[in-house]
Amino acid sequence: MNLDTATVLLVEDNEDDVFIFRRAYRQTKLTHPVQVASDGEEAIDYLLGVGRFADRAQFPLPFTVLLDLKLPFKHGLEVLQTIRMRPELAHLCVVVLTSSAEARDLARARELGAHAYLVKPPSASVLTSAIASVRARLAGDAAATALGIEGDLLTRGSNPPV
Amino acid sequence: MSSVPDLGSPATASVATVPRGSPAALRTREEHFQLALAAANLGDWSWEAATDLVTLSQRAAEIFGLSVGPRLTWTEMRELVVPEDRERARSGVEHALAKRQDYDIEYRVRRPKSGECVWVAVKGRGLFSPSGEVDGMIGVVQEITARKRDEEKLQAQDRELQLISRNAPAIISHWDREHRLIFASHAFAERWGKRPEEFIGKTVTEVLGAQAFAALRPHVERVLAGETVVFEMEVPYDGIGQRYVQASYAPDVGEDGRVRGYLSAVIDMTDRRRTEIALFESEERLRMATRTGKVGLWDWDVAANRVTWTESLYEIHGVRPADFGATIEAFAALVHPDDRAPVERAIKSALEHDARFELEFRAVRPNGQVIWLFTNATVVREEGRPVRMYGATLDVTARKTAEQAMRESESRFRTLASHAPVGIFLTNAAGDTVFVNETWSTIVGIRSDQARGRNWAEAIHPEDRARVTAEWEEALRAEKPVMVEYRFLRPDGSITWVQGQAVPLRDPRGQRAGYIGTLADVTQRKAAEDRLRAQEAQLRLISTNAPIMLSHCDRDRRVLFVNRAYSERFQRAPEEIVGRPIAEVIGAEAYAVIEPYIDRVLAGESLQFEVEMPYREIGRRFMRAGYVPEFAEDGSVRGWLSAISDSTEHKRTEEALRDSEVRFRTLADNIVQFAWILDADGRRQWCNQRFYEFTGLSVERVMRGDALDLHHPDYGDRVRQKFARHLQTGEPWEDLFPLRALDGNYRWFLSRAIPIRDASGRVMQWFGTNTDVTELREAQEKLRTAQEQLQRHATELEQKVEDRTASLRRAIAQMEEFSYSVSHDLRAPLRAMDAYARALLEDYGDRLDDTARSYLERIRRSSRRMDNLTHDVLAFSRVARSEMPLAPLDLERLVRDVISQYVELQPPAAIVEIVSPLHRVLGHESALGQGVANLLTNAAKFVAPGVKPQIRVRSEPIGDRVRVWVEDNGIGIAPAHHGRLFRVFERMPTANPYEGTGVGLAILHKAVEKMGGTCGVESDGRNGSRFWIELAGVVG
Repeated sequence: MNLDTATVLLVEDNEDDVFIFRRAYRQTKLTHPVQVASDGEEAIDYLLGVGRFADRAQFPLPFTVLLDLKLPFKHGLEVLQTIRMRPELAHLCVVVLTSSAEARDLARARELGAHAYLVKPPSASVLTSAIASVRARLAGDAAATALGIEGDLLTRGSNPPV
Repeated sequence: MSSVPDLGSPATASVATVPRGSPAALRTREEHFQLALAAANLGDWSWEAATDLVTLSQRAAEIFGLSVGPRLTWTEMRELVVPEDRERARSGVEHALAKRQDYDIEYRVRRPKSGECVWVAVKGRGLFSPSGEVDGMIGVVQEITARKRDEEKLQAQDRELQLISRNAPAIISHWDREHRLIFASHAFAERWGKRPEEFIGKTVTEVLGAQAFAALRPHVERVLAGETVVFEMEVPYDGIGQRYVQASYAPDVGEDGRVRGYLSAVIDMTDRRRTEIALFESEERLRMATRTGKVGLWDWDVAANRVTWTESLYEIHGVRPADFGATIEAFAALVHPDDRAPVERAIKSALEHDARFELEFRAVRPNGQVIWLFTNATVVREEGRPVRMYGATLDVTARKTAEQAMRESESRFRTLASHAPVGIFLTNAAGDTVFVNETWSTIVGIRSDQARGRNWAEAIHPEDRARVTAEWEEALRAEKPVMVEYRFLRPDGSITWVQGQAVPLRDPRGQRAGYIGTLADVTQRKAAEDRLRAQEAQLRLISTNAPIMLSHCDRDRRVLFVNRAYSERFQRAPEEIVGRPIAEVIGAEAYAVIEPYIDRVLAGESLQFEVEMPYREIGRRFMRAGYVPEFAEDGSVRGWLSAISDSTEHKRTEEALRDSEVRFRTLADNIVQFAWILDADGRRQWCNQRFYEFTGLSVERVMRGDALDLHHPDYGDRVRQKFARHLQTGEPWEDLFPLRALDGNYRWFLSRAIPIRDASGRVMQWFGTNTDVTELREAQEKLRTAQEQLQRHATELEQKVEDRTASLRRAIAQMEEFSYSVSHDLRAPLRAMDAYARALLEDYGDRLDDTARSYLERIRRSSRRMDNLTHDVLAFSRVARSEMPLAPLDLERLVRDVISQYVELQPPAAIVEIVSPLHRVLGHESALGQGVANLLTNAAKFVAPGVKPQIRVRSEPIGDRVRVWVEDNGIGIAPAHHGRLFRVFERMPTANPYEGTGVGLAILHKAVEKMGGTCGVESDGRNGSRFWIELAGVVG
């Protein structure tokens, strides 16, 4: 599989955020096709290839999922839990996208094996490095990736204090 | 009155026949009489003075062993009487005739033909002429040999019975190896109704029968093998039938050690006399029937229902002829109610079936006496129909009574034999013991077989042995009863005092048979004697040595005796005192004091007194004296005895005690507590004055024990029960309870009592106090109420706190939900606003003029500011509600980390100087890191335009705390604003140009507060600011 053309799945219900994401993504030099699932149920359906996502040619299995937490029908953490329970999705890297660095969400996401945690809105550079980290991990360089992304992005956030 | 005829000389009178009535009536009478005589087996006779000839009936002739034919003279008849009885018979008749009484004499006659000696009972009556001369005699005679023999036998048996019932417990026999009887006790012989000598030499089979021997053989073989055998079994004896016996066999061992034979002691367990008595009864009945005096005759005319009785029958029944209805029903009425039916049945049976009429029954005399009667009768029939019954009735009450007495005597004997409380022993003629009973063995302490022969003497105490054996041998020699008191030394070493008594035993022929004796344990009596003797000795010792002065004076007031104490007290030898007047002995002055007492004792009065005596020799002494008069036999006073003790010392002690007692009482009466003393049973002996004052009770009343119940009804029972327990156990007592005062109010007392014991530890008294604790108790009560109230409030408060905490928790939870929503949902539109404004600027900027572009910039700035504000507010609330566990922190590393993360804190933007080393503090790493970052970035931010921020970080210990300073060269903060600086949303009003949310310092303040620290600022508003954080320091 050619990682350069592998699909990225964005799970996001807010159209504005989808817009912001797409704009930032455009500014990166990344070439991965982006698919969007607008709620938790849809994300699961897509990943399992059921319903209207049965056609893998049209909806290919992504190599990474960018997952919002506050989703209608099914919370992002539940989606994450479901992914972790499916052996066929064992290698799927999940990057959590959220509005704030709430400690409880962060802790739970880590427990469920989220690869990284990004605070919205992600900038082009953050997206670039996040995807790079995922790719590196998939390439086997797990140690480098985990440090690089989680450490910088999660502990401090992007908002400078007053 | 004529002279009494000499019965020994030929008589001159002829047989008197006194015909009365018609010849037919006479014949009937005669028949009647003959029938009665036959019924009673009597012979009749008559003597005629004129001819001196005796006429005998056939039965009478038989009795005398004569043929009916030739009549004998009185003298000839007299010759038949055995010489020994002749004089007695003669004087008996003479006496009776002289008194004109009937006579009844028993004597022996020798029948001329057979030479046989028989007993006869002759009853006679004199017939007198009108002038009072003896015309002749008539009478009846009966043979009583059998009865006499039985009587003799009975007498002999009775003697034996008496002897044995005093002594022998069992039927004792001695057999040799060939099973021949060597010795048999009377009890043994009596068993078979024979004399012992009739058995001696016979074999066991001959004596007891083959069957009995077969049954006993196993036991006999064992005893002959040398074993002592005790057994109980039923034995089929010859002659006396099946008997249940308890037997013990002891081997008779010869000097050569061989068993020569055996001794047997048997106790009959069956009612052994039963058969004998039955046997005896019929004999007796027969004999009694021949006793004329107790025979009554009767005749019943069945058809006319007319009963005729002889006078004697009236006597027997105790009824006067006038009172007897003379019908068979009248007779039946005299029969004892219980026997009436059998009697009537017997009569009916005799009349209807010609059955033999012979029965024994009870009758009741008018005076209520119950008598036993025996009657027999003959029925006279005409043409088969009964017309008359002739009968004879005997009074057998005496025999019945004797029978009863004998039964009782037998039972007494049996009881005595089995339960004899004395030891019993039996010796043979040579004086060798052949039997001892259980009690004997118990007393002496050796087994019965060890006591045989003279072996018993070995058990006698060595000191007594010679004396006892000598007395015993002497008694044997003289054949006299012996009584001796001596000791047995028992095998266990103890000594038993016994009184031994023995009487010679003779067989009925008068031959010496041995001794039978008793042994009584008198150890107790001896011990009592010894005690008495010891007491006497002790008394003597006391009178001599007693520390009390004893004297004895006569009525002339002269001293007869003084004991040692007395003579010593007056320092004179007894002989100097005795015989002298008491006044001289003690001196006139002292005598004057006691003279009135002497007068009184000599008047017969017993006295006790205490006086102070002015003795001549020994000075003034308190003396306690007891005088007792000594009476002569005629009741006059012969003198007196005195016992005197010197009580001077005692007096002094008493006075000392009295003083001490007064002191104690004063003390006790005046202490604030009640004090009291009870005896061992809890009765009040003493109470102090306070107690009486409080209760208002009188001393008499309290001492009498009918003091009012002072307890409060709610506490009284409990208090009394508890105190009763302590009285029993003797443990010190303590209790708290109210008592009622004189005014009726109750006051509380703490009460204690301790037991006072004598030397042996026994509780003699209880000493107790009651302390009034009413005030104390009230204060305690108040305190307790207050405490309870406080406790209640505290509980309420806790409840409130709990409620509040719960609602607070709910509020926090809601708050968390709220802030979560805020952080996620509220910021989304802001992000969108900023993103779209930016997109406009980027994508359409070239088509907009400057104004439009600046508007978009303003939109972006506002949205970013809103986003920051939201973020900070969330951060603050997170800090405020989060847990902050503390840990030692390396402050310097933490500051350096912060600087490295912010470009604006690094050169060239700013210069941050760290005064190394910074002290270690106790804090929460991320919270403190955030706080320090806020301080440093603020310091870098709020500087005058064009001024390069210069920041210095240093720390200083203040006690056990550490203060961290962040000093800058910024715009400073006017002191007026310092107070508001750390509150949320407060910003410097003059600081508009500076970007900030105003939340940063509030977050810092909250975080430091949660870490247990403080923070503050020093600034004059011109020359920079100096912020500080103070936290707990870490040593080392």
